[in-house]
Amino acid sequence: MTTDLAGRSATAPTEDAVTRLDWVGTLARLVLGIVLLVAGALKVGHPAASARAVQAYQLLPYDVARLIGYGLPMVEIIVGSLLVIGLLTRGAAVVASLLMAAFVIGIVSAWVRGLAIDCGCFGGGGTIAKADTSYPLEVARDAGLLLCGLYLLWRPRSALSLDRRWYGI
Amino acid sequence: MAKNATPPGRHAAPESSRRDKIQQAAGSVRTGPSPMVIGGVVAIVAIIVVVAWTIIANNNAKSAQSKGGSQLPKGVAAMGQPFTRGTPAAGAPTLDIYEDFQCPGCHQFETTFGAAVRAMAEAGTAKVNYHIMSFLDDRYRGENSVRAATGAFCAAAFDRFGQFHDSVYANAPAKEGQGWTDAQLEQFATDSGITGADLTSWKTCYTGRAMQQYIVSMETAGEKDGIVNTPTIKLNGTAMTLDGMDPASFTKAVTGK
Repeated sequence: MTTDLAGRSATAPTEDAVTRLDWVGTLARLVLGIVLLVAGALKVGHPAASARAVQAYQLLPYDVARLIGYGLPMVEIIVGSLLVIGLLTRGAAVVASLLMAAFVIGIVSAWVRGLAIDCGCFGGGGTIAKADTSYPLEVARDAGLLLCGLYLLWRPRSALSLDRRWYGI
Repeated sequence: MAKNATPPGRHAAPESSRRDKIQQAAGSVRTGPSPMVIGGVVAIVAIIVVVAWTIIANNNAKSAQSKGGSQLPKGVAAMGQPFTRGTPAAGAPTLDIYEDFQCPGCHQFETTFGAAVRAMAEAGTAKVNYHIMSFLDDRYRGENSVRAATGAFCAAAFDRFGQFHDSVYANAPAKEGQGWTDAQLEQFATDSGITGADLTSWKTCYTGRAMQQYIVSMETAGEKDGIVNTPTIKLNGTAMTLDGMDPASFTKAVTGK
């Protein structure tokens, strides 16, 4: 790290300087955003299957789970798109982190209750054979994505984003 | 300021003028609308899109429920109730079979245990309840599950549900999700022994989707029973595990003989 004569760190964030952390932000945005976008796109055309996947967790009343199943893919698509283009990064990161936290809780709870379900994260879902469950992997993946979200919550600045282009943030 | 008085390096300009330059430059770059405005607009549009999408999906699901006829198949007393194959003896154990005509696992179950189930149903040694579900239509984007179910329940009017059901599984499509043509389903009716005037009235029932609402009601009832995968086989209300069973041990598990 170099320091200029005014005592300012040369790597301190300014409007023009793209720092290494900004690229970390870009990576977090793209990973979280693309996963959400793909997950939403795969489910959005199959509302009934999506509703069944949510119902399979047996956490919410039947009709509430159904409506969430209908709406969730669209939420994923919108939040994923915002993250990919880097617009309203912090707001999108809040929603994405809440989603990931809810997914982690849902999957862990299904695991603990001994349900044998597919998380339904990318379509499909519902009961599967016990041997086919992959709870540790699903939890690890969503926890990793949650970290991406929390990082962006803490530091929404990133390279190649509309936020940066338009507002310098 | 004399040149030799300035410190060496590129950052010699006084801090204030540097900031001015940055702000000037930034001012020309920040062409977008105010963050508050765009944040508010995007949030509102997003909420409207999600709510509208959910309402549309909900309405589509509702219209599917009210489409077609509301006839009940012969032998079924109410919406959502399963179809009982054969005439069970008093006190016979109840075997609930949840299946979707398009489900490959169901095809496997039918190939292995179908004859045993048929034997128990015909002998009346078990009360064989079919809960015909149709959720795979959503996955495969078609109506094959509902169409096959319609054909089967229309055949019930001539006491041929069982034969039709077995024909559908005996003629599973080569590729999952491919389904059956109308001509194939009509052939299953003929193969089941429905001919002449009966076939004509089977066709009227099939073409008019007379049992549509019953089929939807059974899907909903199955979901509410927590059936999220097919086949699910329940013996007296408890899900059975078929791992390692053959038709003989399956029959013994159900009937005790």
